[in-house]
Amino acid sequence: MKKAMLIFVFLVVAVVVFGGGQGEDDGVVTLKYITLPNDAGENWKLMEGFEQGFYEEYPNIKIEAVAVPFADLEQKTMTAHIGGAGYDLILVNHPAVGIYVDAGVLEPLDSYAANSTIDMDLFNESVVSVVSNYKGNMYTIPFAEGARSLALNKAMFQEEGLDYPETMDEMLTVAKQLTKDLDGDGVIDQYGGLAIDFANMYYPVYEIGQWLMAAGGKLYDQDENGKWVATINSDGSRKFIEWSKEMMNYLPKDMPSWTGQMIISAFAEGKFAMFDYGVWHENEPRLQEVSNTFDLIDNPPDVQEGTVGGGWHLGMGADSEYKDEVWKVLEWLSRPENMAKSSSMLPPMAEAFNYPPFNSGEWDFWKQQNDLAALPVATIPPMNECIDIWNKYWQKAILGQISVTECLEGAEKDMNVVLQEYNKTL
Amino acid sequence: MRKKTLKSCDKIDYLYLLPAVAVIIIMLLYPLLANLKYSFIKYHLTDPSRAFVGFDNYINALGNPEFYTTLGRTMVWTISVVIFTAIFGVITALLMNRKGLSSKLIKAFILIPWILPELVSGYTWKWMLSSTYGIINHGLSALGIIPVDFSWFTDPALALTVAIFVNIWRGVPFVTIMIYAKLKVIPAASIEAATVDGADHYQIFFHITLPFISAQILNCAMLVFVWTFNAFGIIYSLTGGGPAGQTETISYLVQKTAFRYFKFSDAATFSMLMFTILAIVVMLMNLASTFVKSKGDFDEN
Repeated sequence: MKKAMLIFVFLVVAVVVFGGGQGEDDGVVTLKYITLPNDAGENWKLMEGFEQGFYEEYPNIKIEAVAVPFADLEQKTMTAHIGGAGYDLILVNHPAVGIYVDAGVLEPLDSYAANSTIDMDLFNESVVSVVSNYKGNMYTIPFAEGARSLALNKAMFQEEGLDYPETMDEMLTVAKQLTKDLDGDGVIDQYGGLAIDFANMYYPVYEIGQWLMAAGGKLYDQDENGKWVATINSDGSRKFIEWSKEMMNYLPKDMPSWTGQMIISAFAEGKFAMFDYGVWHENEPRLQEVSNTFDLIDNPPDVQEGTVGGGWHLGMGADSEYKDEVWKVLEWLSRPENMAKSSSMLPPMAEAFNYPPFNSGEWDFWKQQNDLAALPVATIPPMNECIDIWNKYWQKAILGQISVTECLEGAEKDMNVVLQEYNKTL
Repeated sequence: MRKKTLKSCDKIDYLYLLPAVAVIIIMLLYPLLANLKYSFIKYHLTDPSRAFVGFDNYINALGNPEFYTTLGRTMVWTISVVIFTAIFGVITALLMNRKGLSSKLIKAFILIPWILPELVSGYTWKWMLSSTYGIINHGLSALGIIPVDFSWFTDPALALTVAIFVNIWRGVPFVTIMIYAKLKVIPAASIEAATVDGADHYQIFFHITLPFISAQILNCAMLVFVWTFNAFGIIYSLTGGGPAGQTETISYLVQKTAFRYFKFSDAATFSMLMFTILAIVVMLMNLASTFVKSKGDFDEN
């Protein structure tokens, strides 16, 4: 009995130790790629791109996608790395580059790039220099850049005989005029304001935060000594807060409880006059069903014209045993014709717009937005914490719980605590 | 010969306990000790040093105003849920113990809130309370009880109250079942004797029933306290910690610190402080339960 038990235990251990694992099978290398699910629509286009060209060119390399929800992507990537089971190919949201690099998740690509055919000059310089490059090394290849615009309900504007707004003040003017009780029952049915997704902590930096940028506000920046300091307490930020506080008057009273999906549905149904429209919304079925009901315009600027960019990158896992194969994927993707067919948003290189599907006239507007796109803040590791701080103070200010001054001073103070801790590591 | 056989049996018995012990060590003891270790080092994923920092993490946590604000909010959340879950649990159990239609209805539906996953409950209530899409808001505004565009989630105190209500709704079934089981074993002779002596329903409840079930109530309260103090899913799904982070509880703070800021040592420190608070509370409640049991006049047997 004891002998049988021992043999059984030995067999179990042998199966676990030697039976698991993937990687190489009959000369075909399988790369594990962590990404978003297919129903996100966004990054699965990359997998289609691989089907349309990469596998033909490299039949001995296969890519196996491991999909995780957006909210869990960074957590899953980091914990897999800590547990020694890191991925070969990693989908990197641009704010996470600094965090991943400092945590040792990503492999530097400089030596690979130096010996390859990739022409880094083809990439949009702003994305590569600010995001892909971190602390003097290159870590990612950008492949899907995001840009934003302002979607306006055509019928609402036409019925009121209003022109589309061209400044932040004009946005408030039209918001006021378009907020109304349509059926006379004393209840507002139509909201002229720009909907705010309170649940999304990035909103006051990326989405509605475009108008923070437009007003000249910025969360933090480097001083002359290369140290990071909070710069949020500025006239531009003050203007932005007062503007967004006024905008709240033209939105539902329970806006704080609305989710992003509720907002999309409500805009599609014609409840909101304005909507923060990103290029990824081109894949949103509810909006595409009603695409003839809204127009897209440049974000009305004030001090500064532009749209907030960002986007997705691919990185090489530092734990990967197949780095050469991973590099082949990144190299293939960096060719303009391949990037065009694999990018789910906008390819971060002008040359790619000469290839399908971007060489049709349909993408001219987004190319223009892409050219104007800029990152709202540097993607340093404490970025999430600083955005969280800003989000809390901004929400309290626009809900009337604190004054604008208290908001700016409080946010600046708390952000500086976080940034000073980070500066010690530089 | 017989003695040797008995000893062999004992050894085999211990062998059968090994899987359970392994689970306890892997799932409970190891994480606890690892957490304790992380609370004494600097373990930020973006800083590979992992240097030993002594009690610095605890000093920073206890010197952080946000910790006290969040802890205070967590205690309000927890104590409110415990008190009202106990009250409504007892009332529901008493109703369930009576003969009649109410008892049958309660028995049919009581477990539904308990078996629904936490996140499902949170998201469902969030939608029901939406001013634009919510059936509850629609009904209440049709009755003129609230305005049409009334928001449950804009005011932080009201948002927390809603979260407390939803968690009470989820917790009442457990307390009900536990109290109901205890009610079924109340000595019938005691109640009959009291009735014969002229005691009314209130006197029977306060002098016989309540003392009999009080230890059970305390035990349930202790469990509900622990579960509520640690609860994350309801807050995450219902309010997202908002508005402006004003419904965040300690467990939400831990999750955010660990998986949004990747500051594992800070999160571990908050966790150890949570563990300490819970240990003290559980110990006090155990003492209270022992005291109540020792004062009890009833013997189930």
